[in-house]
Amino acid sequence: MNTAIKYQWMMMIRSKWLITFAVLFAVLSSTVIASSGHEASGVFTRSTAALLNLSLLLVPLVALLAGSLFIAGEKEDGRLSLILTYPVSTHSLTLGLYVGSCISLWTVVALGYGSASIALFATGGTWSTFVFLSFVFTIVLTSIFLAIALFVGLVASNRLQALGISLFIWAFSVLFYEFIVLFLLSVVPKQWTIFLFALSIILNPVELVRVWTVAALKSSALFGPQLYEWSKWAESASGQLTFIAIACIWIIVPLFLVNVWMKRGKRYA
Amino acid sequence: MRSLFFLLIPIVTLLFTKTVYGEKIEAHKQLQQAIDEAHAGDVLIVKKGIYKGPIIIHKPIHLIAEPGAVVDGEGSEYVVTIRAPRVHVEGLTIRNSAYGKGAGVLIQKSSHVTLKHVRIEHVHYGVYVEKGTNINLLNNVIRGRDIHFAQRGNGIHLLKTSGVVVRENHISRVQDGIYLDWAKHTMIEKNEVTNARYAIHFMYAEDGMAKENVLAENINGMMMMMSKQFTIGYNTIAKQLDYRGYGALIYDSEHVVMHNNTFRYNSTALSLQNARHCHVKDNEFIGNYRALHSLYENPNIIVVKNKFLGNMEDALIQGAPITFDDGIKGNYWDAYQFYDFNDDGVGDTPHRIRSMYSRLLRKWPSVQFYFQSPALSLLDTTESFFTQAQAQGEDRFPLIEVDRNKNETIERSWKLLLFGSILFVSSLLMIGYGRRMTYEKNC
Repeated sequence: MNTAIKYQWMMMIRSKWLITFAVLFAVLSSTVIASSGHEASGVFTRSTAALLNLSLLLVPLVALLAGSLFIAGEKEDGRLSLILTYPVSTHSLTLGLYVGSCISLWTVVALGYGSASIALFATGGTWSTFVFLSFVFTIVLTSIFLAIALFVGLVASNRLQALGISLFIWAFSVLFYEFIVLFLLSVVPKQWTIFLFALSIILNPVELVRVWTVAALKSSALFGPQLYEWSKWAESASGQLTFIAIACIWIIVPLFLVNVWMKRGKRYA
Repeated sequence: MRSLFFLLIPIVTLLFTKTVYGEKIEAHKQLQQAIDEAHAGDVLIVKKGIYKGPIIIHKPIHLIAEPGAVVDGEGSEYVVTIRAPRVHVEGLTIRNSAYGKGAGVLIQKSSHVTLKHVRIEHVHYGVYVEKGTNINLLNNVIRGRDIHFAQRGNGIHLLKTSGVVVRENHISRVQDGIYLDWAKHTMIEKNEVTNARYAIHFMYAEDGMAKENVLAENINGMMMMMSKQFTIGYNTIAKQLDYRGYGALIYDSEHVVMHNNTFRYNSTALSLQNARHCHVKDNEFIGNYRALHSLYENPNIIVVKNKFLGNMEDALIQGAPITFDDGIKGNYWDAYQFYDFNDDGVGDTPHRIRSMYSRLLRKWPSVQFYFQSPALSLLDTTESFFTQAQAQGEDRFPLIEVDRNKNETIERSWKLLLFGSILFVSSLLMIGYGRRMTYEKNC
């Protein structure tokens, strides 16, 4: 498993594309946080929202692309079939691939948040729980989307297909999803609202992380009076545990599917 | 000559000073007895010890407590009752009134009473003033019980009073911090109110001033109802983050001047509902979910020279439209994309307050769930470029310069630098290590 992690980590961090993204993310997040004034306090504010939105927009995209294109490329070039012939169990191979890509992308996110924090310091901002929480939740978001990306990369038959599926998943979960929920909201009876929102959080990791961040900052008053009871629950320990559980499911299920797929591949290899 | 006379009073009274020695339980008789036996104008020094309440002061005396002098009401309704003019109580600790009724101190039909450096704990109401004139409440600490605010009493309750000065008090864990009920000529200055339902509650109050108070982490900072002629200035109103939370709500009131206040991180910073002839000027609205909210009609209102910075929504106008300038100057909006070719400090184009999101919100209140979410922010931005959405309000003379942080010094946060540097350096090392490792293997 260690070899698999090392292999994946080396291959990914070697990618010029990923390094370019790391620099881009660092520059963007620093700019956003430095130009937003110093309102990044312990509560959810517009500058907080700006940095969070940057993560919510970019991180799923890069995780999906990096993860899926890499695996699809391995598959296309026949390297994956070669690896599958090695005497390594699929479990450790799956985990190795996943952890390896996670470490590379976490590095990218850490670079972004590191430079953003330094930029905030340079402009006279103060430490707040938000900077830390936002970093942690971006890590969670990266991990979830990498698990999905591995699966996408395995399912796709070539790089181009992987690219298409990844872009579609990204656009759907980040851009279209909210409008679909809003449309449903205008159609279904009013008493279903909370159920619909809860379901929408479970079904989309982007939503999960967005709502989780707000709740963890104890700022869910933001969601308005209609969701008061729900917000209180989301801020409570049981709410937070539920968020953790959903995040775990979002990581475990795709990885499980990857494992099943690889096992099948191994049989044919 | 007159001042000389006033100087003489304490010197003369000192000659008649009596000392009360407190012991447990038995001391009750001593303190009440000492008060009963004292002559008008006497100064009683209350020694350290626990005295049993309730205590009734019915003659003009001075009660100066040494540190550690406590009057314990042991659940009686009013722990200390003052029913005489010119009473001065200083340094005493007063505690344990009844649950659900009563107060630490009741001042009834008195005038020229001063409470100074008094500590009031575990009480229903803190100080209850009924029909008092010229009352001074200075540097007191009032802490209610740790129960839901609906079961607590108010910190300072002024009922039908005139000329009350409330200065430098620290009030927490109460229902309403300072409640003005038919109170006239009230001065509220430099107090700190936290963990209350409403920090300051004006009800049928008239003519007064609230200055340099810090109102934080309450449900509402300031609640003004059916009141008039108030000047509210230089207050810090922060973190009223409950969904019902308003920094300040002015309802059915008139002639209120709100100036130089700082509203930070409130759910809704300032809400005007039937406010007539009000001035809102030179305030700072920073990082609120909603800065200004206007409901019903607010005739003759002037909103000018305020700074709107980093609020999620600058204004929500739900009733009659209001103007955001006085014909010469407007406000500073961080959302305003300005041009100022004639260099007069005023933007050449008006600032229109509009948002797709606000319109959606009015139709479906639950859309609030998507406040500043990636997709809706994107929609809002796109929409502001391409369509001429109906503006909620207009500032014809938006200011383009802002002088921020006048009183604030930039505070360097080393924790932030440490956090940033650790992330930055470790990620660079990781990348460098990973790339070199690959290189060596390839060679």
